[in-house]
Amino acid sequence: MSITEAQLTTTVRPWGAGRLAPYPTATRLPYTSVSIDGPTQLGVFRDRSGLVVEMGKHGTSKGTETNTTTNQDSKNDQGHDQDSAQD
Amino acid sequence: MPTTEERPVLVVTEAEDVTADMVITELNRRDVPVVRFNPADIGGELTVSARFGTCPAPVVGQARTPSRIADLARVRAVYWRRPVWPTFHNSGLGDDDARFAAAQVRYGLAGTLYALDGPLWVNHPVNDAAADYKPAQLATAQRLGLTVPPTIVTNDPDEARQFITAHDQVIFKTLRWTLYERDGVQLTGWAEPVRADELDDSVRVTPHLFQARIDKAADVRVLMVGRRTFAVRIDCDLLDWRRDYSALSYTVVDLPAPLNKALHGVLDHFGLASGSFDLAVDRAGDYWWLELNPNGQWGWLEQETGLEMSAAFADLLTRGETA
Repeated sequence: MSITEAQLTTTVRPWGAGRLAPYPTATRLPYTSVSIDGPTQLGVFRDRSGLVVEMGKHGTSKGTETNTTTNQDSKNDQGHDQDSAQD
Repeated sequence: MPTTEERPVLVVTEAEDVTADMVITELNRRDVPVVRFNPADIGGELTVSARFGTCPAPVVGQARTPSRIADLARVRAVYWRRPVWPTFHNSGLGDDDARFAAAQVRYGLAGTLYALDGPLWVNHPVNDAAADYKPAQLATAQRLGLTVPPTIVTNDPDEARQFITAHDQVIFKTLRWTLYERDGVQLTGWAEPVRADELDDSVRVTPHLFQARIDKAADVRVLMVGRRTFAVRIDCDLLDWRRDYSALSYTVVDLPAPLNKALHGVLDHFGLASGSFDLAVDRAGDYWWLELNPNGQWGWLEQETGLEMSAAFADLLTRGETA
């Protein structure tokens, strides 16, 4: 690809973005809501019918990432508490 | 009724954080009061109120949740895990109001916590952020005696090609993870060899990081919690071990003392109480620096190895000091 000055600042996707690839597995975690239990300050995970789900090993995220759409904790090592506009 | 906690540990994180739950469970065992909140809950379930210039203490006030009240002047430690900041994007506010609101939360809530004198931060977010720059990590690591793979950060395609040609195998790494979706599928960066002829002019758009591939025998993940070190060797046939967790085997190892000291030096340099390091060990048994994740994941490693990582975090937060 050969690009002009104007393109550089507007429409050209950085080379590295083309190297990104999907996560190997998609895991859907078995809960639909989380609340904080007052006495323990622990998360309480519930399924669609409101039953408490024991998270155990399912919830702990791996070293960097697994792909889930439902579990924020499964995001990777980076990316939390970052705000590119303000950091 | 919320209860006011004596010398609480603040755990700042989202609700769906089972790693924080592991640490909170250990704090509960120690009868250490915990006040947990997520910045995104401001306005509804989270209230902060602090006064300055009104009494001898430079800052007094409270953070309140439905179940707990933290006396800000008495906070023992802050466990800064996975806070989510409100964006107000779905609040019905226009862009300008949303931007205004988001900034007021960050500078009002985080700013008040930054004003506190006493607490141990695990970790302070400003220090986390400063440590999250890979180029700064590489230079710091080498200054402290660690062995760093030859690396280039450049947006000059010719220099990048020369670097790749000059080394046996080279991988591309992102300088920073960002949420990235294509056709509804989430993508991320993976360590994979790159050839010089794969590069094109779009390297010029932003800096890119290319690194000589280490002929590694294994990876080593090191979690440091205060002065404690947990080192786990990860064996697999993968260049990037994140690709298949079922293919990994874990062995608890002891780091050579000079390496342990150097890694602590890196944390000290960045002002971090904790950090997760990725290292490689080559076939000669020498260790190579790969990167530091200041707020890295470790919960799965505790479950795989039985190492008492969450207890170490609880001990550190209980003491309220790193020494």
